Amino acid sequence: MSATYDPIHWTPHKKRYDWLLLAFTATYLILFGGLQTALHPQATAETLVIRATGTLAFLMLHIILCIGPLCRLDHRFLPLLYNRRHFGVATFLIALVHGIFNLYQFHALGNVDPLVSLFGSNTQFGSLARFPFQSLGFFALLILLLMAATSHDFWLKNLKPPVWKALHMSVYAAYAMLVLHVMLGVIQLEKSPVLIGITGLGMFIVVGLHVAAAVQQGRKDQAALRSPGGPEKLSAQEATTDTNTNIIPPTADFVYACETTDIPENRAKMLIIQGENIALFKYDGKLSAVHNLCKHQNGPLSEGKIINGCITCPWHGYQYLPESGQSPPPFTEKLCTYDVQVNGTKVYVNPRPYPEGTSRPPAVLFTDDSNI
Amino acid sequence: MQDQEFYIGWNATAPPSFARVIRRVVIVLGLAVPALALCLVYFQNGFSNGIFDYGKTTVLEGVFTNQPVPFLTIENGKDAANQPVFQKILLVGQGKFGFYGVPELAENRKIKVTGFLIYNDGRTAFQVESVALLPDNAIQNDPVRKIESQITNQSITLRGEIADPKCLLGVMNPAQGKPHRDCAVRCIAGGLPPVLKVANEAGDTEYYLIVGPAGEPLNNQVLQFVGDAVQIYGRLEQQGDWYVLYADPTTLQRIGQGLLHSGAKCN
Repeated sequence: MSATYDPIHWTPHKKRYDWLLLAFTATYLILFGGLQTALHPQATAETLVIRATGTLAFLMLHIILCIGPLCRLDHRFLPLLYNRRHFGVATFLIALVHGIFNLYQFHALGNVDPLVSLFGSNTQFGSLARFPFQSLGFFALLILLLMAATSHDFWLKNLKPPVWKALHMSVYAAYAMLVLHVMLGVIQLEKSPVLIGITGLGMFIVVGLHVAAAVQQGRKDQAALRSPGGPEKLSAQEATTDTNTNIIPPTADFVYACETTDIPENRAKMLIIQGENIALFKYDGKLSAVHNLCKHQNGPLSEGKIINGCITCPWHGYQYLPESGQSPPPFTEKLCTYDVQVNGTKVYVNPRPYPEGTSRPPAVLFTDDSNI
Repeated sequence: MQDQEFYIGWNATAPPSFARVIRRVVIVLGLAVPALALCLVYFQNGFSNGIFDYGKTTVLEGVFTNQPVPFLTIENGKDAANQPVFQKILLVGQGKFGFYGVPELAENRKIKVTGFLIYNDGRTAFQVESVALLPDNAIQNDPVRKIESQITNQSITLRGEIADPKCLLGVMNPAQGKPHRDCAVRCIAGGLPPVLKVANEAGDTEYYLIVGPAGEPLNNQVLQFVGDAVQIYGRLEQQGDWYVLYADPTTLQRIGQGLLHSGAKCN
């Protein structure tokens, strides 16, 4: 989290991450090159570079796509997510080498411009077997370029998170194109079922992890659903009776959220009420509610923690004050806030959001309440 | 997971449970990445033994013929009876172009070419970097001019893959199939004569340069078939080390991959 746009805001973790990334990348390229030279000395150097970089970029893209769902399934994978941008940029650079070598090798030094050759040498788009697979690789590389070029908080801030997020979700389109690029390209030449098997296994892992994460998220969402008309709705009598814990007079707009004991200290509970995605935090004998999605990259704040009095996002450590939803100065991110009420051990939330950054007094828990 | 450990990326260290998982991930990747590299390299198709002596300049002298394709016929040593041995070398241009020579270049002219050899499977091509016309008196009584085509008058249907001879002989490796299709299209569009690579299941390979029935180029007609399994019918002629197929373009058609090795069919 940085208040300024440094090219890279280095942390010890990022440095370790990048060194490991560099080590793995170099190991793969050296091993691939060494093995290729030893086992297939007839292959040209250009072929070696094309295949080494192509397979490495494809492998790295698989790992990148697995990190998201792995983190959703188990938070202990989160350190992989923290510096995923550098992983993505490295993947693009390696894919770029692959693309440039391909463009030069197969399309340059001819009677037309290389890009004209790329799209004009094979126009059999109607045939699966003869489909011009290289154009798929070109467009996938273009997406990776856009992602790498905007992979900085400067662009996140200026493009606005929804646009930035949508742009970066196009990695799935790039992945689909690259799977086709491989299956309709080099796999058509190669005879070994092992290569098809490896490609299929990669797809299976990526798709499988996403399905598993989606199922788990669906269960979480289901558990977080609260209905205004539910059995625990604040009664008219309760709604007008001061519980001595509330600063704001309760109204019938409040919806039962949970018991006070359902939320561990300094942690949160996710609630979905009338379409509002809410994180209800318990800290220092108080309860506050803010919008559940981090302004940075939509990280789930309800899976975060109160640290030094701030809600801390589990993805990249962005922080917000629980009562106002504002990032502590000099940061400027703001979240919507919600009113919270406590009635005995029952917690109620009004799903009507206040404008981002609006301070709302927290619901106070009695200190002699054994449930705190 | 609502445990007490919480990871923040900008902290110097990760909590023990997080660090343990990441160490395991690093170990798994440390084993998987080399294994994957080994598998991907090991299970590739084999590569041809084609050689492109790029950067190793060679100078050749011989007689130039442009029909049906640009050849240079050179004297290449003596046989056991001390008779000269002749070799036909396919001339190709730089990059993805055929050999167009120089304006003064005429059929049966003796020339000196400088460039790089490309060879594989007993066939040789030559990427010409420069051409020099030799004096007229060098043409007279040159023994290589006496080489004549061996007309077989055999008509045959061949099954194989159309590629460009320059890449196929060694400039690229591999130089066939889908990944190389666009390059071969560009080379053939650039004037390199198309070649039909015919292989049997034993791996024996033969190359047939394809021209029209009267020796005219068929480059444009074959472009849509490059890289596919095809069959084509024509009259076969041997020119030194090379076969030339005077093909009927109307007989060119795609076939299933399974028919590729079913052998040549004489008609």
